[in-house]
Order: sequence, then structure tokens, then C-alpha cells
Amino acid sequence: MSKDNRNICESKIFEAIYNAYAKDIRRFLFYKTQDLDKAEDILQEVFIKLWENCNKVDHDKVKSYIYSIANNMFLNEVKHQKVVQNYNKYNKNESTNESPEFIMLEKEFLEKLESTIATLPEKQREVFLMNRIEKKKYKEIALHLDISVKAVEKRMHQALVVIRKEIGDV
Amino acid sequence: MKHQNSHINEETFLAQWLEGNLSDTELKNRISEADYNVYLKLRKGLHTSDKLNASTQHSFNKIQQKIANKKTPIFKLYPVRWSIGIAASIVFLFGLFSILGNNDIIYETNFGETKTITLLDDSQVILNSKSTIVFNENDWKKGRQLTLDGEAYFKVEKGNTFTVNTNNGSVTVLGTQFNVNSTNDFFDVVCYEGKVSVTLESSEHILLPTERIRKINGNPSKSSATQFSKPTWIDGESTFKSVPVRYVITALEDQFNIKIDSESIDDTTVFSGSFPHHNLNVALITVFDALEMKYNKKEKHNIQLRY
Repeated sequence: MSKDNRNICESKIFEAIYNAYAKDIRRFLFYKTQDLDKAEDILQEVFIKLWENCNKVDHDKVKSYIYSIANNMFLNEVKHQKVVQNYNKYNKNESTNESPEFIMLEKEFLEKLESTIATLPEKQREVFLMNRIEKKKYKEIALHLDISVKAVEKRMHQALVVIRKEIGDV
Repeated sequence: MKHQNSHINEETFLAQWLEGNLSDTELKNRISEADYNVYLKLRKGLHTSDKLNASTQHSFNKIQQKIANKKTPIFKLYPVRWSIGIAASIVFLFGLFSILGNNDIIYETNFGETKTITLLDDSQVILNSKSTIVFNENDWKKGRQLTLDGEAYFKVEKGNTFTVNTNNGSVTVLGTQFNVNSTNDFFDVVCYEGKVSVTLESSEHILLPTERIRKINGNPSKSSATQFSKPTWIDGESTFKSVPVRYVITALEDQFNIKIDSESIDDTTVFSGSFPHHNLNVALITVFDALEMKYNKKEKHNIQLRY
């Protein structure tokens, strides 16, 4: 058939859309909320809404649709949060989750961090990724690469020094 | 602590700290405040980046769960004519007082569409194209009963009797898997698992797995039918065994949203074979080449058959 009949209501298509955009949406929501759990929650709500409206959304426009849903849901969350905060202010002076040590992770910072890791010298990057992505302990990495634990730690340390230098002051 | 710290030296302390073997305070004592702040942010950034790049499968499972729990999957109401609208409003108003409204639930599929539906008792129905099922939410508790027009595959949860009513007869089971196709005067039931009882106007039949009963022109005939474990249309292919070609034509029309003009051919010619759902041209070639019929497309969705 010539026309694009990819129907979002078909669970296979829906899943494909999810797999294509879920990570980006989660990241987008994290930059806005600065809260991984909240980003995950809203991500779920976004795709439930997409499912409910699967008949009304064009496959061609699905990307901008889910981004605007995500944004609206974030704004609603902010509104709700303000109400909660006001309520707390009048009732009790409870501290918010934004303690003084709260560290904001901006989009630019995370992107810079990730691109810096990608350009680390080969030996450092190898160790670094094994530790971060494969969640291997230094000991396991040492065994795997057939080098001493000390050597692994040195490379890790060096990698951190390089990243810190690249990132500059924040 | 002293013992541990003796392992920690100038060349590795950041690695130790990241792994949690060196505390934040100890790190703070070793480096400048500015460096310390950057490293704290760096660590948080790394954790966050790990999580952001991690699989999203967990959330997908949650989404599926939540969708299933909402019990309001996609269904369309009948295209509402205004008279029905008024009737519905009246029913609704009565419903306000009695709470017991008329809860008919309708699922339908369009051309070329299939739908998977989970019923109130977790039984599953896969609806083939241009098909409708209707059931009443209130009556459901008293007895599992629904009405089918078209074709559907049922996976019924164990429980009391489950009845599928059609214009051509009804199918009753206890908990099993079967396919029902009731399109106009064509009626075809295949049992894939368990035991199925089929009641026609004049007769009653029991089907065991792989058996099929079919009624064409009012004459039921039973045969051992299928080597498949489920209907092939679920995987995007319609299969026919010794069926008059006019039913195959109806199936093609429902699948591809086309009109087929069969005036100049003998539409009782028997066809055995299958056609795929993804491509109209391939489907036409497989069906009509086998029957040595020619077809031409007058317009996009209008196809004329001849010898």
C-alpha cells in the first residue's frame, strides 16, 4: 500500500516508537526536573497518554507530539510543586529537597562530560567505560586486562584528572 | 582507616574516592575547594549519565502494566447517529439514577487492522480486519458472552462457559484457544486447544484440537483442519483451504480496503492457499495467478477480475 499506514495503536509500532524516543525524552525531562525518578515517572505518563491517543496522532508527527506532552506534563508538575511548597510554607517550615548541597546538572555540563569521556586516551577510556558501563570493580578490570589493580587505579585517576581539566570550572 | 589509607597515594586517590574507599572529607583535605566542588559535580554527573544511558525497558514494562490496569484500551463507539445520541443520553440519565447503565462495550477494527483485546476476565481476543465484538460489562459477571461479526482468535481463561454468538451460530467453550470467522454467510471455527462446542441452527458439533467446522451455503462440514498452532492471519497472512474464491475476495477487500469486481469470473471456484497482509500486489498475484485469473486496477482501489 502506498500510504503510510503505520498505526500507533499497534503494539509493535508503539514499542518501536518507545524504543526510538524513550531515552531522549527521559534525558529531556531530567534536564528540566533535575530529578531522575520524576523524569522516569513523567516518561511513563507521556507514553500512556500517547497510547490513549494513538488513534488521533499521525505517525509522522509523533516526535513533536511526545515532546510537547512531556513539556506540558513537566509544567503541570512544576505548578503542582509550587502548590505543595506554598502549603508547606504556611503549615511548617520544612526544608525542600533543594538542600544547599544540591548540585544542578545542566544539559551543557552533561553533554560536555560525555563528549570528554569519549575523547579520553584509549587506555584510560577502556578502564573508565568498564568501570562505569559494565560496572566492573577495579579488581575485575585488572584481571580482565591482565594488569595490576594499581595500574587500573592510576588510569582511572588520570581519566578523572583529564575530565576535570577539560570541563573547567563549573 | 589508617591501614587502608596507606594504600592510597597521589596517583590513585581519585579512583579510590570514586569507588567509595576514600571519603568526601578526606578528598576535601587533599585538594583545593574549587577542585573539590568540580569533582563532586563530576561524580554526580557520572552517576546521572549512567542512569540516563541505561535501558528504558523497566519503564516500558511499567507502562504496559498501567495500560492494562486502566482497562480502557482503544475502542470506538458506534458512529453515533443523532437518534442514537438522544437514546444514549436518555439511557445515561436513567443511569444517573439507577447507576446500572447499559454498558455495552464495542471493539471494532478497520480495513487491514488487527487489535489485541484483553477482556474483563483476562481472556484475550485478537480481532482480524473489519471485525466487531460487542459485550455487556454488566452481563459479563453473570456469564461470559460476546457477539462477533467477522473474524477473531480467542484465548480464553479458565472459568465458567465462554460463549461467542454470531449470525451463523454460537461457539461455547470452557477455557481454550480457537478461531472464529463469521463473515456474512461464511462460518468457520477452528479449535487450537481444549474443546469447543459449536451450535448451528440445526445441529451441534464438538471440536477437538486441530479440528475445524465450516458452513458454506448452509451446509456444515467438519474436517481435521490445520497443522498450525494458531491462525496464520495473526502473523500477517490469511490462509484458506478449499474455500470458494468469493470469500477470499471478501477477505482481500477487508484487508486492503479495495473493491473487487468479480462479475466476469466464477466466484465459486475453490481456492487453497494464502496471501500476505503487507503488500496488496503480492497478495493479488498469489491468489489470482494460482486461479489463472487476470486482474486489472481500474482505479487505485478498484480491481476488475477476468479470465
